[in-house]
Order: sequence, then C-alpha cells, then structure tokens
Amino acid sequence: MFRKPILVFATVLFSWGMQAQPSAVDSLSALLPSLPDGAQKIEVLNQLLKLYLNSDLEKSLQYAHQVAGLSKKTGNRLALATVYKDLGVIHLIGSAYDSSQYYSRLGLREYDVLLTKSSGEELEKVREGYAGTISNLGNWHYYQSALDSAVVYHRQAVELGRKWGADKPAANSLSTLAYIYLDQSQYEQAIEMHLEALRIFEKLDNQDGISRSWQGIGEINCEYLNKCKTALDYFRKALKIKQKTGSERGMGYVFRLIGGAYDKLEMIDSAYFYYQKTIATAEKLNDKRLLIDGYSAIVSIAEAVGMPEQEQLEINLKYIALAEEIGREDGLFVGYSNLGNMYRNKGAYDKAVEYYQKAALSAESQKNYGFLEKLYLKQYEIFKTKLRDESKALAALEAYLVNHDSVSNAAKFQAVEDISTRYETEKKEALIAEQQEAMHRDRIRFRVITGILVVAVLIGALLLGLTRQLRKRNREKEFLIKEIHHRVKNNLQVLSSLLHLQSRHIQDEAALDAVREGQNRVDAMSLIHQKLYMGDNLAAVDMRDYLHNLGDTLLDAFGLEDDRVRIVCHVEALRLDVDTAIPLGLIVNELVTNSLKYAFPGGRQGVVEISLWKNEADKLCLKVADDGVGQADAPALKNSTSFGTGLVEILSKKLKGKAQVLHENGYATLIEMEQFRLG
Amino acid sequence: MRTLAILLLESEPVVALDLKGELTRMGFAVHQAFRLSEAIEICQNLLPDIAFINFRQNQLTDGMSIARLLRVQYQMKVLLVTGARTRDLEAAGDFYAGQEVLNKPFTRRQFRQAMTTLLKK
Repeated sequence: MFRKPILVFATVLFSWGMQAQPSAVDSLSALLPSLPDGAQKIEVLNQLLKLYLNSDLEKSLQYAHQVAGLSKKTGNRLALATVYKDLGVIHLIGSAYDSSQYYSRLGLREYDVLLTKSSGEELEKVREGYAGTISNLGNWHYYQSALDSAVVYHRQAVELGRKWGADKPAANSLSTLAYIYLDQSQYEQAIEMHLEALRIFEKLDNQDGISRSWQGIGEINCEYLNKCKTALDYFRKALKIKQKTGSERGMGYVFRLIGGAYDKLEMIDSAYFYYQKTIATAEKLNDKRLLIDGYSAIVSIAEAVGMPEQEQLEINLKYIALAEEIGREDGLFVGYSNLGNMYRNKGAYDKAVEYYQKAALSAESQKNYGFLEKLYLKQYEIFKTKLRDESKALAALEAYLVNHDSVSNAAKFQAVEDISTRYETEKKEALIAEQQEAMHRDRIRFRVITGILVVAVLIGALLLGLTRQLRKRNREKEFLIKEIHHRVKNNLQVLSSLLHLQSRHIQDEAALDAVREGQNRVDAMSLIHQKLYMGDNLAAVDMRDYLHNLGDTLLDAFGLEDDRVRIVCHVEALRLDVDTAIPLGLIVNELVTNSLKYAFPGGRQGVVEISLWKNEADKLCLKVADDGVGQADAPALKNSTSFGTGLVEILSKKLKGKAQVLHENGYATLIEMEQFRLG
Repeated sequence: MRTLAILLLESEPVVALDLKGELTRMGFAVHQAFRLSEAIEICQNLLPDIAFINFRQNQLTDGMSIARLLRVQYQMKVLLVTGARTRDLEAAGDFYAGQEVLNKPFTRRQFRQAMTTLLKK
C-alpha cells in the first residue's frame, strides 16, 4: 500500500510535466512587477505555481493564492475555478486532505456555474477543468484508501472526458484507475487501464502521458507478473521519450525502474549502474524523493556489488540523514540495519548491536515485523556467539520469536486481508454482474411488455373493428328479422281478413263451417306471432297467456262468450319455442273446437279444461277435456269429417307424441310429447 | 245519438276492406284512407272522432308519429295497430304514453275489444 500512492503522486506531478528551472523562474519572477492586474499576470503566476510544485510546495501555494485573489479582483471566474482545482492538487500533495477537498469542491462549484454560461473555447476549458477536478477528487479518495469512491470519481471523470472530448483528465483518471486495480491485485484490468490511457495520450501526442503509461505497464509486468525482461522493453520506451522531451526528473525515475528490473533479474552490475544514474539525477535536481529511492536501492546491493566499506558507510549515512530529513522511516531502519551489518562484518559487534537496536526502534514504529524478526535474529546470534551474553541473547531470541509470531500473524492478517479484498472485489463484481443481469432482464422485460402492449393494442383495434362489423351485421340482421316478422304478421292478417271476407259470401253451412275453422286456425297461429313480439324473447311464447287467449278467441268465434261454456286453463309456467308452440297451438285449437262444436249440444252448459305440464319423465303433457255429452252421445261427431283428427295426429307425431282418448266425465284427449323445446 | 265517424288509415287493401265492413257493422261512419295525405285531408275536412291507423311508410312517418299528430292536433281517439315490440314502443316514451295499441296480427275479438276500450276513454 505504500508504494502506490507514491506512484499516483508521480502521476499528478508529471501530469503538469514541469519542474522548477531556475532560469524560467527568475525570468517569470522578474516579469511579474511590471504586469498590470489581468489575464497576463494570472498566466505568469500560474506558470510559477506549476514550476514550484515539485520543488517547493509553499511557494507554489503562495502563487496559487495570488492567482485566486487576482481572479476574484478581476472577475475572472475561469481562472478562479482553475486555481481552486490547482489548490486542491497542491494540498493533496502536501497531505492537507481537508483543504484539498475544500478547494476541489470550490472549483467544482465555480465550474458548475461556468458550464451554463460559457461557450466556444472557454466552454472546452471549463469542461476540461471540471473533469480534471473530478479526477482530482478521485485521487483524494484514493489517498484516503476509499477505493470504491475513488473508482466512482475516476470513472465519472473518464465518462465526462469521453462525452466532452476532455481527453487529458480522462487519461489521467485511467492511469489512476490502473493503480487502484493494481492495489486490488487485478493486474489484467490495471494493464487494460494503462493501455486505454496510452491510446488517449498518443492521440493527444502527450509524451509525458505516453511514457507514464509504458512505465506503469512495465512495473506491473516486473513487480507482479515476474516478467522483468518484458518490463525492461517498456521502461526503455519510456526512457526514450523522457530523453526526447528532456525530462531529467522523468529519466531519473525510469533509471530507478530499470535498475529495479535488473536487480530482480539478478543482473547486479546493470542494476548498480542504473541506481547510480538515479542518484546522480536526483542529486542534480535536488529531488529528495527520488534520491532516497536511489539510496534505498543502492544500499540493498552495495555489498553484493563489492562496494568498498567506506563508500557503503557513507552512502548509508547519507541515506539515514535524508530519511530523517524527509521523515521516511523505512529509510531509517534499512539504513541503520545496513550500518549494523557493516560493523558486524568488521567485528565491531557492540557497534553493530547499537545500530540494529536503532533500526529496531524505527521498524517497530512502522510495525515492520518481518524486518524486526531479522534484526533480532542477528542480535541473538551476536549475543550468543560473539558477545556471549546469555541473558541478552535470550531477550533477543524472545523478541525474535514474538516478532516471528507477529510476522506469521501479519502474514495471516495480510492473507485474510487479501482474501477479504478479493472476496469484496468478487462480491462487488458479482453485484455488478447481477445488476447488469437485472438491467438486462429489465430491458428484456420492458421489450416484452412493450411488445405485448403493442400486440394487445393491435388485437384490441382488430377486435374493435370486428365488434363494430359484427354490430353492424347484427343490426342488419335484426332489421331483416323485423322485416320478415312484419311481413309474416301482415300476411297472417291479410289471410285472416280474406277468410273473413269470404265467409260473408258463403251460404252453405258446411262450407261456412270449414272457412271459419280455417279462420280459427289462422288465428291460432296469428296469436303465436303476436305473443312472440310482445315478449322479450323472439323465439319463445308464454304458453299460459297464449292458451288463455286462444280459448277466449275460440269462445268468441263460436259465439259462446255468454258463460254457457267456459274454458279453464291449467297451464304450468312454460315458455315454448315457436316450433313447438305452433303445432301445439293448432292441436289445442282442433281439440277445443271439437269440444265446443260437439260436447255441448242443445244449450248444454259445461267446461272445457286445457291442461299443459311437464311430467316426471320430462314429457310435455297436453290434456283437453270437456264435461260434455261424450263421444257416444255426440251424434254430430259421427257425421263430421276426420280432417281435425288427422291434423291432431300428424301434429302430435311432429312432436313425437301420441293422442290418447280418455272417456272420463265427458271427452278428453291426452297427448304426451317427447320432442319439444323450451324457450 | 250521433253516428261516430272513424278514419280508417290502413295501407293493406284486403285488411282495409274487411275492417271497413266490420266497423260499419259496429255502427261507425267509416272514412277510408290509404295514404297519409288522404288521412290528413279527411281529418281537416271531416273531423272524425276516432282513427284506426295501420300505417308504416318509413322511420320518419311511422304509425306512432301519425297517431300522436292526430291525438294532439285533431283531438282524436286513436287506435294504433303496430307490429313493433312492446319494449320498442316503451322506448318511444311520450309518443307511446296513453296510446291505445293493437298488436298485429290481431283476431276479430281483440279488434272489437280494443275499439270498445278506446270508446270508453
């Protein structure tokens, strides 16, 4: 975790690609007093700010505040937004995290306002500044080890960069994302980020960015994938660019990387050569961070390359002094330990132990148990075999064992942490995959629902059209049925009138009788049609009402409405289909006519009963009975034609019924019908 | 007692002939019309007491409208012969209200009963 912030640090620094060159600083400083307050002065101050960034943060900060004041004074909001962004970076480098976030937020606020007001070239600058500030906030979160948030900010910066064509902040964020993935041991993704950043830097012809990307890819290859030979190719590419652009500082850092790669490849001489070049460059530029890296590297191989003792001593002392100066504890304990080794090798065991103990103090403060373990083991060996101090040897052994446990624990802890990180990463990846899957499913669901809705609408429209068509056809059919009914009824009416008119001109009694019977039959049918249209159902007739009316009509026809003969109906509440009702009506007409004509001769009083019901065997039963003289005493009946009887028989057959004559108190006919339809 | 005059508007000649005889036997002075214009002319000139209407020309001049016209304009008692379903007549609302109706096809007895009811109104 220690190394990576340094790398990001470098990213931030190099992104500005400047260093404080005395000549440039002097000439710019000299120019300042002569400039009036305005854009030009702001520009010069900005340049100074950046030139001092790597060598003197305080000065850089002073210039930044001057830019802020001048921008406010002259109402230059873009310059103000930019310097707020820069102040965020300066404070971040200076580890003043609260101030860094504060200024970055101020910058964002200013850029937000400008986004709505600017146009043309200024808008482009505003967008780049906005995306850059988001990228800086991503770095801020990275420094706070808030990796999730850092990723969110950097991804946002990348997206904004792509959207607005603000390539530089996008590429910087991609570089940082690479280090974040590296932290999570996701090497392939880290390389992918570097490569993506590389493509943008190449597009921008940003040589510094290109070389940084090669460096990043090389570091992953050598340090994590054990491909140091491949890494050397990348480092050389980076070095070539640094040489071409004349960036000595950049070259210094690449020397250090090349040396490290040779070191890992156990090519000690080459490693020593590049470490020396690193130190020389750092000393020339007075870059203490690079210098301590150089010292750290060279002291680690000093003995192996056969460096003279005095030289080793000197370089270790320089190393320790610089580490104390810039607060690099790792430099301290490594340096003290190296000195301890040197004195041990010379046989100065007390001196060796003294430096080992100094190193142990520093290592303890850094909780570097692995280093402590080695230090105490060395002390134990010296106390036991050289100084022969039993108690100190045991104390050193005890300390060794404690730290050994701590190392194990730390290793276990690290392993757990690694597993936990991996688990968290996998969990997040799974969550992302799940969310993507859910989104995919939602998209499919949305498409399916939309499809269903479209189909439903189409079907609805089709059904509506069909319904309208059906309604139209139904209306047409209804109209036609009405028309047919109307004609049937008119024709029946005409038929009845014709028979009536004809009867007026017939003198022969038998003929008149026949015509009247015909007229009654027509009336029996007419009544059916009349009742049909009076009810709700055009195909069914209420038989109780119909038979009652038929009886009255027949009494009227025979002039028997004086109550001499009565017709009584016992009819169940039945509605019969018209195809059943018409033959049934005609049968009743014939049977009642028969009774009225023959049962009550000579002014005899009596009753004709019409009964209709459905029996238990589901047969329709019709009974017409009179209390008249009976068949035997009805002489007129013997002379009558058999037309009526034949009609009853044939109509009964149609209804699958058989007429049965009952000689009860008078004359009765019972018909049980199987084929009938209820309405 | 004055003989009651009746307007017989029946578009079917056979039925008209039959009913004319029946009405005459019942004691009415029958004024027969086959067309609407003839009926109106009779109403204007002869002021019949009763009208028997069995007429269907089209949707606009159906029997119901003519019956209402005669009832309101000429204060006549009107017997309307109709083939319409009862529920359709009821849907006619005011036009149907108070109208004496005889459903087709009617029997002689029903005709006489309807006339008797109408005269009693």
